[in-house]
Amino acid sequence: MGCILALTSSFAVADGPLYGEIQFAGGALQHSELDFYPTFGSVNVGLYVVPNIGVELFADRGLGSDASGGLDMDIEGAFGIAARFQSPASSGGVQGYVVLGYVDYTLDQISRGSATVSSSSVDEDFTGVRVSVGFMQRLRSFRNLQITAEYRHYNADDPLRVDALVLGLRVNAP
Amino acid sequence: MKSILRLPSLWLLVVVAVTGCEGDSRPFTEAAEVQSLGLQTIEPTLPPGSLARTVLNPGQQLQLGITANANTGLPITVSATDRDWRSTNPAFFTVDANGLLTARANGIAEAYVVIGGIESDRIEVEVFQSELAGINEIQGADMVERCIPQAYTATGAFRDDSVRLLDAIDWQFVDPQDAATRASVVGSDDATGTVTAFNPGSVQLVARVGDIQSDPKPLEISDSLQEVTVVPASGSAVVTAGSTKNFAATGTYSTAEADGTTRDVTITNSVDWEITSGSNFATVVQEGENRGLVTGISAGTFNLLARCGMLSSTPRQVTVVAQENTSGDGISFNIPSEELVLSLEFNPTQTLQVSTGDEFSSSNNVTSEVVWTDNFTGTGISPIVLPLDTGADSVTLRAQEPGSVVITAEFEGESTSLTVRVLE
Repeated sequence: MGCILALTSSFAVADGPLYGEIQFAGGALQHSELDFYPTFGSVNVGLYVVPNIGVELFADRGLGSDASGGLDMDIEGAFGIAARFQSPASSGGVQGYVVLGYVDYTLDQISRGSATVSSSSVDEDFTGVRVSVGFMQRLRSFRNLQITAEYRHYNADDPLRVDALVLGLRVNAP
Repeated sequence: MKSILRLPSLWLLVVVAVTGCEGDSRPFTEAAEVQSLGLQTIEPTLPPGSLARTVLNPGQQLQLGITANANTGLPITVSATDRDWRSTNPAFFTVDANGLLTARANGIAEAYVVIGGIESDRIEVEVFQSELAGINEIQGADMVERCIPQAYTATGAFRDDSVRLLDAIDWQFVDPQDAATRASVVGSDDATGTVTAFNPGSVQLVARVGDIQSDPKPLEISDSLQEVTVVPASGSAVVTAGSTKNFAATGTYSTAEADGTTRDVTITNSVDWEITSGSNFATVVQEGENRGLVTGISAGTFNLLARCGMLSSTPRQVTVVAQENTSGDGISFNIPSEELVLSLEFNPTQTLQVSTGDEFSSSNNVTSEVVWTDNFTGTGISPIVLPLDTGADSVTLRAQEPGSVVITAEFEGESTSLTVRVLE
């Protein structure tokens, strides 16, 4: 326990209370036996309230839609607030984390028209839980930078399912 | 750590997090449904027998339905439940997600439904409180044939001069005791009375709502039924113990031309079914929509007959054979639905497997021994290519032309069918 406290405190000293992160995500949406893989970007800004526990604000923005079954699906955007719980850093600078958030996100689905069926668009807002599980690796050359990788799940109304795999670059305030 | 757990904001976040999700996925799934079915137009429909002008009292309810057409021009079965039903003025009436319209207050509004961005035509519904003044003449045929159910409707004349469909009609015969030897009448939720006649003669039908009664409508029951025949609905008159088999009753009727010509009508659900001998070997359903369904009990032979009033069929000898395969009843496909929709553009093939038992089980797979048939009798191209690659544990059904066809898989006297609808 003493060792863990020592490591934690050493990074707490290295990092300030503020942090920010940019992320690139590959989403996976499923409904009606259709799979969509749109992409989106995220920006997070957070504050450690105690070592390794932070509160953060986040916002997502769609980057690219994906097509399946004559439909185009896009994660148009999202925003919300989350609590971050991360493990103390290992000697190699790796930390695991869980982020529990409350999110408002918008999905946009466009039906491609045909000669006999006109195109149509569905925009719908969903609010609910967003859960992320991941790990981050501190860079040797830039001690305030960490690369992150996480699996993310957005709660959605059945039978819709929304998940994502996310890669990010995190900046800790000195 | 204790100080963290005392943070109200943290607990608030946890509470919010477990409260689930808000948002409606239905528009997304409906849009996919529209795309896969090639849905082009939808229309809300009123109950059968509805009038051109629909007027309700506050509190009355009306079940709406949906008719739909694909871009191929073919009608499509689309469920009316769990849809985005709307009223142009919910103060006058509301429509729930299952299409049940409830009148609220006097006024006129329109009902419609939206499926995946396609908006239906609108139905005008008027709500106006008024009392029933009388029941109009009963509508329906004057002549009834034995064991062919005949529907009758009656409308109400209201004090506001409107004519409305009645939703709580008590259908009766004048002199019920005498009429009971010739016919029965059953009312339904949609204000229809269905008369089923058994023996020739005449009866008088009346519609009653509270103390108000219609004029009697005389019905003549013809003596056109010549013969009743019992046949297995498919295959031979052999039932496996522990399984079921449908039997059908056919009535042979003389035609009005009196030239000796006859016509056959299936009357399975309006005849009385009876096992006249060997009743310890099987049972037969005598009520409801499954009339004529025989369940084998043990190996043996029994006689099955169908009766319409005083006219009985020749007893049909049916054999019950011992169950060879203990895995369950009948045979089953690996897809749970009785209807399969294929699309030439999006999903033109479907892998099928068949097993013994009333639910598909891969351990009882008999696909390699199944004989496949379909009911396509047209002169063109069948909507699907029947599986030919028998001998394998699965077969591939391939769509080749828009349309609908019923395919049947048969294995050791057991069969199961699947309706396949092929869209563009």
